[in-house]
Amino acid sequence: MAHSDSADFASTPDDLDKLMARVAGGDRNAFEPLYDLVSGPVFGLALRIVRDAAQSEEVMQDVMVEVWRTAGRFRPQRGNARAWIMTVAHRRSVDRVRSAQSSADREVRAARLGAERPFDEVSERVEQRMEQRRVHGCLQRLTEIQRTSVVLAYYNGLTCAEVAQTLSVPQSTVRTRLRDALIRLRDCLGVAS
Amino acid sequence: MHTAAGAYVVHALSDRDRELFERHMEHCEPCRREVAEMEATTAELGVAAAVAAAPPDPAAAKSEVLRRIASTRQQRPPRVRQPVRWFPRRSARLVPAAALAAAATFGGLAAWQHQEALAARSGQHAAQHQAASRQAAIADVLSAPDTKLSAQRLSDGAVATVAASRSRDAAVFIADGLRTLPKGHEYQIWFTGSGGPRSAGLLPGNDTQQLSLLNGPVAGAKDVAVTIEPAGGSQQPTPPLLATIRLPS
Repeated sequence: MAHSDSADFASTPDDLDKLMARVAGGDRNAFEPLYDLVSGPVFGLALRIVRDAAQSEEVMQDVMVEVWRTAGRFRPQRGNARAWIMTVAHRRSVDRVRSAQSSADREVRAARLGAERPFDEVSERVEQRMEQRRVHGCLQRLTEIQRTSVVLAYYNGLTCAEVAQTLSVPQSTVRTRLRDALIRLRDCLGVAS
Repeated sequence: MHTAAGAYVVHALSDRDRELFERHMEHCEPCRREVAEMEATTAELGVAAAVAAAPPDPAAAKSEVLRRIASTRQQRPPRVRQPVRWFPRRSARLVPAAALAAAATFGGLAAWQHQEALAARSGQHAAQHQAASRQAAIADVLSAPDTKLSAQRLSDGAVATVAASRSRDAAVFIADGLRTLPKGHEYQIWFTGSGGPRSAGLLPGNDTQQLSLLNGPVAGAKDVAVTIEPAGGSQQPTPPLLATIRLPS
């Protein structure tokens, strides 16, 4: 089943790009194999962020329909299909989390997450696959504030303002740290666009 | 502004800041590259952290998505201003003149008329007169009974159309979704055929929509080609040809 295939998803970027090009051209036959490749990781990321299986399933479905609907916007020159789809998945998940909670709730949540040392929570589950170990290793090489900023923003869907509040630093600092962190991660992971 | 790239990629900017950054990116090639690399990076974070769990009912979830896409129309690619390489599709496709009614064309016409109106408002009588006569000539070609269209979609989604009338011996070039060119460059249109290429006019490099009467007769030409040239145009087309649109016979 698709959900256990994230390793395949990781190892077949070219296939995915080809499928994506066909989907962009309106080829419905290409959509099902694309779905099988990506719906698992998309659901998994949604679940990580949204933390509710039923809602994450809806997010995953919305992401897949959006991928179909907006495939023409995909620009291979700007990045691969995997990055594009996971970016859509992240945005949809974050939107879901944000719309579900009033701002007061979210402030409480931000404070709680800050106290919980969220990186440990992520890192514990990041041990199984080689890919995951690599990401984990690179996260560890960040400074504490860089790592916490990335984890709060990416995995917990907090805005810059919320991260700033949680860490008691100015928003401009969060922005700088997020950028520095992603540049270091990019170099550590050897990611080329 | 540059420092917002990371926050942008992880969707942590406020709506207003996101819009500001997106506007900034339109003119900042390094930013676009950085964002693309960062998106590839966060994709790694996402895949690595994806919880290995199945939706409550995977088969039902999938069939629902397949059902939804069956009734979901795909969006036309947006008119984006970003550097995308342009490769023409192999063959030009003839489309019936009725397709001229497509919104894109009239949208293009309206946009063009608006620009002309702005130019006219600058008070130059000569320009005003010229604009009016060109507009009349375009309307004449588009409404001639023997006008045929030939359209070609480019790989980045832009659509270039030539409307040609043999009886008027004139053609109109229509494009939608063209990318913005760097300063100092313009699009140049060419008639090509057995007599070699001849320039059919220059188009500004900063308009994604174009509607323009081509200079010179259609007779003798086989194709209409598009190139990017230094401002002011060239004597001969500089490769690559972005599009080669077969003129309707």
